Amino acid sequence: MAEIVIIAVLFTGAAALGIKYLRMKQDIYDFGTYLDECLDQMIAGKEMRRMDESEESMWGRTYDKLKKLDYIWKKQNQKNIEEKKQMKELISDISHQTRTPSANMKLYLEILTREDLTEEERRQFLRKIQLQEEKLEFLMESLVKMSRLETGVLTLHMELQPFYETLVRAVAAIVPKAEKKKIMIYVDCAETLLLCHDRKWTEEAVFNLLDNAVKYTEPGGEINISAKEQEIYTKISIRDTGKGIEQSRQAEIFQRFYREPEVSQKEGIGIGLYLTRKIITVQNGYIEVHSEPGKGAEFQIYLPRKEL
Amino acid sequence: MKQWMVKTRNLKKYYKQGNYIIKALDGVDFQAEDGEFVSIIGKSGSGKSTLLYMIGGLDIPTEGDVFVGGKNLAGISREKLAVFRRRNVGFIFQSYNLVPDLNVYENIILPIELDGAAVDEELVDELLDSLQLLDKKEAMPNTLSGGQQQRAAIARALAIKPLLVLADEPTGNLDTGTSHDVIGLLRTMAKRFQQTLVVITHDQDIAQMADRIVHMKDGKIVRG
Repeated sequence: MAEIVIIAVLFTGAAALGIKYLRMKQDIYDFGTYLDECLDQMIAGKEMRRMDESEESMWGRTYDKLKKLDYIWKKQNQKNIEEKKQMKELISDISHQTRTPSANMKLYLEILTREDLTEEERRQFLRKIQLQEEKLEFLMESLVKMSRLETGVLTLHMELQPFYETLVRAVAAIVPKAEKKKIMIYVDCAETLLLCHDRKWTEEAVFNLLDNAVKYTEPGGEINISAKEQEIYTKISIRDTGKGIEQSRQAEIFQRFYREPEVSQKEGIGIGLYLTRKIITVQNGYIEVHSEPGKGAEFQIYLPRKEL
Repeated sequence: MKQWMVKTRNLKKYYKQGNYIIKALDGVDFQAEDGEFVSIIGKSGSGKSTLLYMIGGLDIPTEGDVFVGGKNLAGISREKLAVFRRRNVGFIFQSYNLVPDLNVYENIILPIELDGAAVDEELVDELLDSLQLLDKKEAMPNTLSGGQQQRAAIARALAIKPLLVLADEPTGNLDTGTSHDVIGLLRTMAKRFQQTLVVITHDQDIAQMADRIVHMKDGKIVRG
């Protein structure tokens, strides 16, 4: 009797194990089939079969990751298309921007070839051509910088170095213009402040902000520059007493070739701020603007103290 | 074709309180593009937190749809919602919500271990390094400053490699300078890992750091 019981128990145990084994085998087999199917769909670039991934099983987790991967790939693809489109726009922008000065030059040259001009008139047209040439040169220089930043061929020389020296260079470059308009510049920056940054490009970014500040501030105004360390970022602030920027335009001013409607008479082509923001973002920093019309503008650059 | 990471359609959430019905969300159509950083701004009671909880699958809507990464969260069970959340959404809260008995590293890997997945140690170290917490890896939360605790919470949210990162008043307990630090880092990280980031705030300065600002009032989107 006892033997029969033992045998029965053993038999049931073996059967249970067997069933479990078969089920496990089936699970692994299913896992393989599912994976194969999903990979096939991904290779073919098709939408992955909708499965219920919110499961606590091995396959649930793997399927979820596959979906993420599929998503990221598609996104990357889209990004590439987007970048190509941007490049196209840049090229068309460039050709558009260079058209005006070169057309003007052509016109002046045609006039100059006429014989009934006085010496004085000739000189005037030569001066006009010179101005257009300068504009064209400036445009070309800016475009080269822009395309370097845009295409990522630019190599940054990130180094932990005193920011003060970078600031001094940018300020020195703007002083003559500021003097002409009798604008005072105040600087509050510790000489010992160390910051991981690319000197040449950061100087360019700061200079662009100073250039704008001088351009849009009335004679007799002032510009305050300060640099302060926070826990993660160093904050560089450039505040002017100029005409300020309307809130609704504060996002647009960083766009390529953006000019405020009422300043279209002033020199400039609208890429200074665009370049500045690019320079700051490639260094993992960010830029903010705080302003109200008539109350001046404050641009704040935040650069990480250590390389991120 | 534009991909929407997050898209809600006529989203409603009503609560019953005594004889009154409170309309926390009253027909909200919210969208966030792939990799976009959107801030939602509004007074308390405007429904911004409720909206965030719906997007993150923390709460179930009364009516309407919530699509996240192409999946409709409305109408799936709470258990499945929990799994979805754990694998796809990184949350950051005002009060950091770090587990006090675990050190920084243990806090970060907790959601990964809950899912039974393997920990990507390289990613964890990279996150700690970028968030400047590498020397605090073994530190207990109560020995950290507010900014450091919030950075640890960011690392925890990002360690699961989410597609979507949601932050509810992440700088509510921090001073101005530290707030900018935290949001700046969060944004840099989200861009690096191509994540969509939605941040709730009542601070105009913080909101302006986003690619786009959405204004909410009385359970509705009024601008954005």
